[in-house]
Amino acid sequence: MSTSAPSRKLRYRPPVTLPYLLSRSAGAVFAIWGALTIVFLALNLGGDPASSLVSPSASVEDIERVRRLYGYDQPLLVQYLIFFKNVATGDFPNSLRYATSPMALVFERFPNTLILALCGMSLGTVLGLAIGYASAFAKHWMLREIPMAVVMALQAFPPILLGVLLVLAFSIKLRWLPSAGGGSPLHLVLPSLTLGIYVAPAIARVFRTSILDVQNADHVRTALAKGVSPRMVRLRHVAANALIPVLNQIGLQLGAMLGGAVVVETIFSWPGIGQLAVGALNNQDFPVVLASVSFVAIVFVLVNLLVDILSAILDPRQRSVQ
Amino acid sequence: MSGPVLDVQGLVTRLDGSAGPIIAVNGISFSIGPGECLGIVGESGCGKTMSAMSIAGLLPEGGFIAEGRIALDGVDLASLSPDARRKFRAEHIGVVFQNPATALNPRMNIGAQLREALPLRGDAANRRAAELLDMVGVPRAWDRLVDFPHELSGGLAQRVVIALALARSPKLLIADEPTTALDVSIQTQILDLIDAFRRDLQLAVLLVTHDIDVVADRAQRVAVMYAGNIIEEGPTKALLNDPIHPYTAGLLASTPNKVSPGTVLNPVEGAPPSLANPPSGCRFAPRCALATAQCELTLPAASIAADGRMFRCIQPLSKTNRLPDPPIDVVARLPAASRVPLVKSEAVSRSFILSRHLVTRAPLKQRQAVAGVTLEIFEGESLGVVGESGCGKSTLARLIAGIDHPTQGRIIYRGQPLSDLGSGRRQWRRDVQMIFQDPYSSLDPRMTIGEIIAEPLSYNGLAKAERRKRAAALMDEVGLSQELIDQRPAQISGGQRQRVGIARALSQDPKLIIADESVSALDVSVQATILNLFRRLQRERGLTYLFISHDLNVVRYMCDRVAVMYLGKLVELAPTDALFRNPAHPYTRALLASIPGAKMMGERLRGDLPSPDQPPAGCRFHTRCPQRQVICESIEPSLEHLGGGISVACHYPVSRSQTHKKKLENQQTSSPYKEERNMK
Repeated sequence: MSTSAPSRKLRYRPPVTLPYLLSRSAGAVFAIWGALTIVFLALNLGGDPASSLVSPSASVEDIERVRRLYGYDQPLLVQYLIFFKNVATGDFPNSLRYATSPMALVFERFPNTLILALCGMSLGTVLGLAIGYASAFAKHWMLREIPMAVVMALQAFPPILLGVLLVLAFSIKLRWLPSAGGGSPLHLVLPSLTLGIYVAPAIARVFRTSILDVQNADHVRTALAKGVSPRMVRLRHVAANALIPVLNQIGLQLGAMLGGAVVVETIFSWPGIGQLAVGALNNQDFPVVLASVSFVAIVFVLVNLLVDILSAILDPRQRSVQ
Repeated sequence: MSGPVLDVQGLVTRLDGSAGPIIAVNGISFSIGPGECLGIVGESGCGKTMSAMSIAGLLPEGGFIAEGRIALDGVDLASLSPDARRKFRAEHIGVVFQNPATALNPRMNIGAQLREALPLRGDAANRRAAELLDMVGVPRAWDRLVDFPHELSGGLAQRVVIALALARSPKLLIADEPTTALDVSIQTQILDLIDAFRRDLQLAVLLVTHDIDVVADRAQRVAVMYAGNIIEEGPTKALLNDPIHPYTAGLLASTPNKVSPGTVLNPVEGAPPSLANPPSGCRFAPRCALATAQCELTLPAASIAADGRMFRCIQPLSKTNRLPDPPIDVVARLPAASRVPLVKSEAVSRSFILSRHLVTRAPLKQRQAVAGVTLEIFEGESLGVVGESGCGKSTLARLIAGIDHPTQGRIIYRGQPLSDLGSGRRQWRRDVQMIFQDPYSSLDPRMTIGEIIAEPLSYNGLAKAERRKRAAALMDEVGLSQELIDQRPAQISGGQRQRVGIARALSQDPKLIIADESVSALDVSVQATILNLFRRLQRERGLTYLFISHDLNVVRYMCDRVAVMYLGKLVELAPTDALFRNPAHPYTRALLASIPGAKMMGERLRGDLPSPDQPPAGCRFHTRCPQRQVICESIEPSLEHLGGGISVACHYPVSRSQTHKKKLENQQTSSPYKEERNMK
């Protein structure tokens, strides 16, 4: 009866197309190049790096020695190329302070940042999505209004204040959790909580707005007319579609966190990459600054690339945009 | 099978919104039997969609059924628990919505959306889904299951929506303006499809539409709604030929297709009342030419006419009680158009570059929206341009208006190319004015009506007080009350907004007015008053019109000559009468056969418009042409004059092809038509 002979399998369509992957990756490479160039220029246009590397009392010969050692005597263009070679090989000049390879320092610290960012982000995402969903769909008005209001109020707290308050309550008053440092899962709780509470409101708000938008879409009515149960309509046709803009929000926040949540890492003395970069800046440890900032820029771009790919998987319309 | 599929008695639907409670549907009753189609017509805001959605259980938030009984297949819906009621409806009612582009979930592929509607799982569900797609005429159904909605054309998407509606083999199909968003050719295909299912599956169909012509073709019975009530209901033929209610008669007199060309439209003035605060008596009384003091006292009860029709009116139309004729000044004939060309487009083309090479920046993909169109507009005439969307008619209008510039060819104004106009350019800018489609978005919401109309005048160097006086005079001329001069666009109706657009165009004392779908967004009665206004202005000011429209009935009513475009090409140009009576190009012929309410027989348009990015070689129409020959696939026909002002671009124009067809039939024994088509 059917003219389309019932072949066994449906035509396979990859969730992301190769042209899309290639064009996004090309964009990412371009973004990394731009970010690294800015890092390079920012460090080199601020005056002679060599004279700020040595102690103020150093002799002219000392300065000249440092300059040659780090290649600052070369023309800017050569330095620029060397910088890119360093990034590509991960082989930066040794740290001035720790006298080791800066990349080793970065790789030592990065897992800490990664763990904190993932914990904080997961917490914030779960919290934000739950609150956003409840604020749009909960039957009782209290569930719709109160969590959203609380979270909005919390958004007004800067993370530094929030962090200090949490330390006061849970470490000093209750003595349940360590106030600072790393090493055990318990150390992770307060900083994650601070980060989670910090990102949850934005996610909750974007999700809520998005849900209310999608709810009025024509296709929701079609789904109801088909006889899909109201619960499935909410989950599959409203909430899932509403996730698309939320994903972008999550990507931005996660990217920023992987760059080292500097404030939070400082409050809790969390040995992450943000702390490393700030310390290096204060000590004028330029190789470490360069290495960590370059690394963070690349991670940021890669996270956003990942989010682009994920959102293309979630939203097929984006795939056909090249 | 006995008894109606759907029986509605005294249905009252209330909407509790932010603006207070509204009775959207005010006690309507009707029934539909198996295999029957009931059409609901009326202007927007009269409760048509609300009635349909009440039955389907898809009311917007705040909407609920306050009174009445809906029986589906003999089961009173109110007797079921909410959950059982939902399931019962899903089982028995299929719904087709207005806009196929938004009616499908953009995140899910078609197969997934179809499977959701099926009680099957796994492979069986896929096979059934493909069967359904096949049934509604989606080609390569199995492959299409993994396609996403945005990859489908509007026509295909609407077929998918119909497949969804039929997935559970419902008894009732509710179609809410199923073709309003579609081109006329696609419209016919979709309505044919619904018709076929109605017959074959004995479906009861509830067809909601603003288009009386659609109802005339498709429905066995019609219910006319006005302000939440059904004011007349009965067999289609009787109701349309011999309306009882003055509102029905007014709607018909507003429909260009229902009056013979040359006569005048006699629309109902005004707009339906707000449902938040309806008149206490007959709701139509304030707009009714026959209303008496009695009419304003009570809502007329339902009466039954001799032929069994239901109506609600105490002044029913009869031989002695007729609507007054339209005012005489509207009727006066227009002077014949001259043969002096005002504007000429000379082999005009417009290409849009869609993508460029990454390095060389050389154009990779181009869309030729207008491809070598030569066209004269004579002073004092109305020239209509028609064609499916994507045929380039709006681009041509923009080129002639000088808003856009041709990539090839030139526009000549009064014998002078635009590029040579020099200081005459200012005058030309004033002489050519444009009126746009959407009266909602084409006016600046922050300006007052007076400011909008007077804005072009400030370029003429008029003082402010003088400008205001001129604006007021122009408002008078287009039939806008001067009290509106300080209002803003959001405070006035769609028809009034379109009048503002016209007044603004008139402020420059133009010679040529380009109306790009200027009445498409309006209700019929409003559309008719605007069309009448266009005619009056033409007579009084000697205007020339270029009328762009997808609505062939409007063009037929308004225009002296008609240009038909297909994929950027001008395929036929002829005086209106000749074109509608005896179309020469097969495309024109098929287009005319697709008009709802058309008397023209013949093969309708099949399939979708090919992509304008890659038009077919040879004659661009050959892929859809019922009469194509081998030559059509390779050699493009040029526009040839047939005499009588008729030009056509076709190797076998219909007048000639009659003899040709005979020849072809003789040949067919040796070389069947089908094989010839497959050659290449």
